Amino acid sequence: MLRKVALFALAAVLPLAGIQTEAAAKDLAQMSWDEIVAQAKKEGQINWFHWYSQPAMREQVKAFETQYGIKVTIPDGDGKTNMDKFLAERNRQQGDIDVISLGGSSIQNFKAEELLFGPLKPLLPEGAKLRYVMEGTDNKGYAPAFWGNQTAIAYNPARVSQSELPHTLDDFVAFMRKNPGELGFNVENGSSGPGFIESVTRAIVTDIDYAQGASSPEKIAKLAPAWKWFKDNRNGYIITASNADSVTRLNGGEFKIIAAWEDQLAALQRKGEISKDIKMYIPSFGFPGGGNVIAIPANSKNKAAALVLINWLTSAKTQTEFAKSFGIAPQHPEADSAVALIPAADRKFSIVWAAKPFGDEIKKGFINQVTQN
Amino acid sequence: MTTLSRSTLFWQRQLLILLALAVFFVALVLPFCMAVLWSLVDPSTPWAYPAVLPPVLSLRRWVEIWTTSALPQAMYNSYTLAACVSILTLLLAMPTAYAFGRMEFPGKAVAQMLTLVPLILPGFVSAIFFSALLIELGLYSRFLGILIGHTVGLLPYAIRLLSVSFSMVRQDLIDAARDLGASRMVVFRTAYLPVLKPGLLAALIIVFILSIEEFAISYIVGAPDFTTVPTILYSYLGYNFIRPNAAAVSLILVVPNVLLMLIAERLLKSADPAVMTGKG
Amino acid sequence: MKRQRLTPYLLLLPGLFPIVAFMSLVVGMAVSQSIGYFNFAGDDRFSLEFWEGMLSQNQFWRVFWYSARIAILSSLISVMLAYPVALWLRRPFPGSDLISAMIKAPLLVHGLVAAFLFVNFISFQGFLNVALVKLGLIDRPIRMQNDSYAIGVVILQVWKNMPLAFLVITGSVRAIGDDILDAARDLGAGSLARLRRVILPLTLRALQAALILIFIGAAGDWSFQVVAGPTNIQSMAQFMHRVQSDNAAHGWNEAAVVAVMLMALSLFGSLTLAGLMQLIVRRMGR
Repeated sequence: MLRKVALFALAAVLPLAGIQTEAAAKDLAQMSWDEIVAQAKKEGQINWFHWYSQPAMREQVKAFETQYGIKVTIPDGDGKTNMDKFLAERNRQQGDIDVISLGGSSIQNFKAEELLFGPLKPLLPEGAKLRYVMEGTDNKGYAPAFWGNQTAIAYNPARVSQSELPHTLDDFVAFMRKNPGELGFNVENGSSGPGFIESVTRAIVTDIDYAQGASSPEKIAKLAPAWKWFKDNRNGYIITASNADSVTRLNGGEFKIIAAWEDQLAALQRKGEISKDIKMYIPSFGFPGGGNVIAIPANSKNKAAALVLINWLTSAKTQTEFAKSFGIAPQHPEADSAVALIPAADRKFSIVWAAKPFGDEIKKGFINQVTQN
Repeated sequence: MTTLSRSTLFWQRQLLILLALAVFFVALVLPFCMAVLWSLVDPSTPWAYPAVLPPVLSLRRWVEIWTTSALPQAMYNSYTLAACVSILTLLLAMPTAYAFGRMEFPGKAVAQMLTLVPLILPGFVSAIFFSALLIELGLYSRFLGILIGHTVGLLPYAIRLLSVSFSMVRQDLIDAARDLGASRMVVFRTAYLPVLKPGLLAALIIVFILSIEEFAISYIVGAPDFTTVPTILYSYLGYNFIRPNAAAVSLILVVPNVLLMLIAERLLKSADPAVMTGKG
Repeated sequence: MKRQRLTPYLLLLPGLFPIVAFMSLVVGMAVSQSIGYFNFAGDDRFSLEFWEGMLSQNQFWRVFWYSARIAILSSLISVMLAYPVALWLRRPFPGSDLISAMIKAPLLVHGLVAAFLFVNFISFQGFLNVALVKLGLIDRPIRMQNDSYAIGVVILQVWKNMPLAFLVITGSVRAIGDDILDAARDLGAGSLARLRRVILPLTLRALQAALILIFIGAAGDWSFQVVAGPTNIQSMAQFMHRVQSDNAAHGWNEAAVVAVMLMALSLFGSLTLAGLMQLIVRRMGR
């Protein structure tokens, strides 16, 4: 008897619970910011899927946790698996992801209107001040930028003098001839190496519009001269295991120059993991730069808390702090940009990443045509 | 003549023992010392080229890893998972092990062969297509998924270990207890339990350790957010490579398991070689 | 009576059923995805296009033979190193317990940890390079990490699997009775002849078991390859994982082809190796 009653009660409550969260989600648009904050505190916790520097990020969000009493969990997944999970959960009523960090152009891989909650621009108190066009992709207010970054060449002054540094494609060939195995970059585990591959490819194959993301076998076939360049110089460079592996080995004295992220290098230097002497520059043929955006999946369980976290992350105060401790280019107009690693004169060589999905074909082509052949 | 050859034999042997010690030192002791040294590198003073030794040593990195990484969560996941896996595995293995250890029946050899199949299926094949199966079934709980995967993968070990234990129970003791009119419970307590106990404990510990160490299923099914100790080590070796942190996590993965394994080996003095295998 | 005959089979159920069910589902999943069923991206239909596509790729065959080579080298070297040591420790002597404990130690070290320790040891700042430079043997550290011949992977495989081979072989070497060896000696057999005619044939099964176990483990390796392996080629497991996650539409189907080929390599490769070993031992015994 008792069991029957319990079952009935459960059957009655379950649909109600569903309706309640539905109602809450709809209401966010009508709520005032204070009401959203109150709702967020009620939700009390949040899962933020972010794919790099998680330990340092956990330190940073402690300020948010004490301010709002909302617990933030940042899992250790990498960008690819986070994305796979986000796409795999698209049909679930409620997913595990409350907030997700995305590369600026990765929104081209899916339909923001279907998979993301928003647009966030009208919901955030400072929404109008933030940036929604990143890496040539306009996400129409669904995902504000919170992280600006740049790929470049890092060098170890203990091993190489400034005058030896290569700036043009010909310089690079000469450098590799003279210093075989002194240039390192990764292919897997991070996109600083793929950034270098892309810049060389774009400098060699110029008759493609890299702002167009559409991919076709003919377009991919045009990249052949770039693969020839990499094959001809195969003894000149070393492929490392990850962004971080390149940096570690530069720090250990193994390489003279490597491809790296400005923000990652800066963060490791400020933390004391690597030598403060390491410096960066952008070669004149251009290295890709861009940034990351942050969004709420449509099936997030804690949307109010997610909004409050995004508001905190994109605020002038947090962006200033991030610039200081992570070396990012801040994305709030009122934030202070701190001392950067790359000389200001080199910024003009920053280029926008090739549009996807074609942009991804460059890395895949490199793996198939150069390393695995 | 004999004394001479005996003494050369003695010296030969001493020389070989010395050689073995040297190999052991280079292959195991030194690398571990290096790991300990790296894990003690002070977080704010880099060990950079051309320094031969780390400039400042401290325990601060250990504190930092404990407070900022996902390691406490990963350890919690690993250890609760391993506890559930080992109990479930033992419960499932017991009846089967009893049949293998104490009964004769047609098809026994084939059945015994079949239990070993998980050991010869490549780990990543079973992990990747098990995850395809989970997607197909719509099972989203990573804990449950890994629990099932580990239990099935480790059943062969438990079945083998317990079969040996069951076969060592002496029939005359069981008969004697029965003749004296003992109840089933008493027969179990007096004839079975004393013989089974070390085997049971050893199986529990070995399955526990192998579950903690299992990487393929935990990584493929658990990614990106359900981390265990090996998957966190993998991320420190790959995407988030920071050598001193990887050193510390390596030590955390190895040391408790070595201690547990030494206990298990004590319990299993007549250890069967094939079941002591660690899976990497 | 009938109930009694059924009892053992009922007892087998809880342990054996999960294994058989899980394994047939997983293998079945791989096989059916390789021929176009359980498609996540489109409609299910029978098709051999994934097989044709994969088997006509040069890259696939490079990966296949690479994994085969690693597996053969690792299993043979491990067994060849373990065998004399097991013979040496056949009868206990002062210090033999210590040595066998030292040999077994790597079994307790996780594969990923082993790979890390190794890479750390041979890295540019690692002990080996520092020692070589200090001894004046080289001027500048040598780059040994991720070497393109996969020497590092084979060293790791042997490091991890030699103890396993040692354990398997020790059991059977110790089981040879002294009386058999004495009898052989009385018949005038020298130590080499005793090895060829008595010891090797009697331990053949253990040798084969060790070869098979190590071959299968090394052919399906992922951890060692990812951390310490060459960057210009992938192992079967790594390749399968990459194909599955990179090739969005048909990644699963193509990975399934690689999986089936990996299972085939493990099975036939290890059996062939065991068969060859049997042939050699027979030849030598004559």
